[in-house]
Amino acid sequence: MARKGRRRRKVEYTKNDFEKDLVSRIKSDFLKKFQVLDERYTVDRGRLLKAAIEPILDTLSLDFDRRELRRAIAMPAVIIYRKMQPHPRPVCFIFAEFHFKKALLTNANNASCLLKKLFPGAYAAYVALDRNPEGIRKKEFKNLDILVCGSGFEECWIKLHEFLSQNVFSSE
Amino acid sequence: MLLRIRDDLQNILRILRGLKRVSACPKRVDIPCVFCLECERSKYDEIVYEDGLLKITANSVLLNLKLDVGEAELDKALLLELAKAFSSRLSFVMEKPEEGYQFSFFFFHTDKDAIPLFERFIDDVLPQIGGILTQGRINVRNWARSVVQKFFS
Repeated sequence: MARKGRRRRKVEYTKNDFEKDLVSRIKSDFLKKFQVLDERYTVDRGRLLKAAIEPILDTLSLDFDRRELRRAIAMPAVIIYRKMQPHPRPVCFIFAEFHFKKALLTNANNASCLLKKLFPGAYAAYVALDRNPEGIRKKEFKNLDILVCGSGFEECWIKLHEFLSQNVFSSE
Repeated sequence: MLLRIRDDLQNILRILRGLKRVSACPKRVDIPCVFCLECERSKYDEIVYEDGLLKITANSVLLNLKLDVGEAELDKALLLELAKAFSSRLSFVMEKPEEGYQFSFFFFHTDKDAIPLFERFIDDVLPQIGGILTQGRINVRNWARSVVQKFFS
């Protein structure tokens, strides 16, 4: 018998869900599918990055602005690491947003510039779930290796999957 | 060709007057979407100006203003102090502007009373900012000279 007087709230798809979906798809389509990738890579939403950078903050050269660096560390939504000792090494920073707009892309570009200085050779991807994207040229954002925009998650994932398989996981 | 903020003031005021509370926020709190951007209800949009950037969301707006003050450190410090002083009296002026800008104005949907003050700021203060900074530089120079004069007297 159906319960009376209880309305089911419509669940909104938030950025948090988007980030979780990206992590789970990277795990299911790459790490869990190929054992060799699972042995060498790991993925999370930034916890390991903070753990890896915090101890070296005091030993970094003065060229790095500490405030900017802290801000940059908090920006990537999903990070793929190569498993290493004592800390894993980030190989790809994925910025996930709901909007494909210039100011947000500029922030991500600046953050990836700093992060790429700390981890040379790492890739940076900007993924946006935007139905009305702004016409933006890729060459304006030199520190972002790929700009992905789609109206749905699957559309974004197909493009990101291709990028990850051709660049990040290609050597395996 | 990009517009200047002052030239597009009427459009900005129209946007500010149109801010509304976002119902059914996934976080279930009335927070400014411009700092959150966690869901599509924020309806984020931007307008790039020659001298600034307007970030628009359904319930809040952030306007960043860039002033052409050159590379003088004293001018930058004076502008920072000016922003701090204004922020102590005007709730919509942010004490610390966003990076790369000299003034940041934040409006929430509850701040409709502040719109006339913002209009006055843009009309009265902005055209005189060069003169205001010159006055500040003169005051600092006079202070430095008075210290030296006191030393030799």
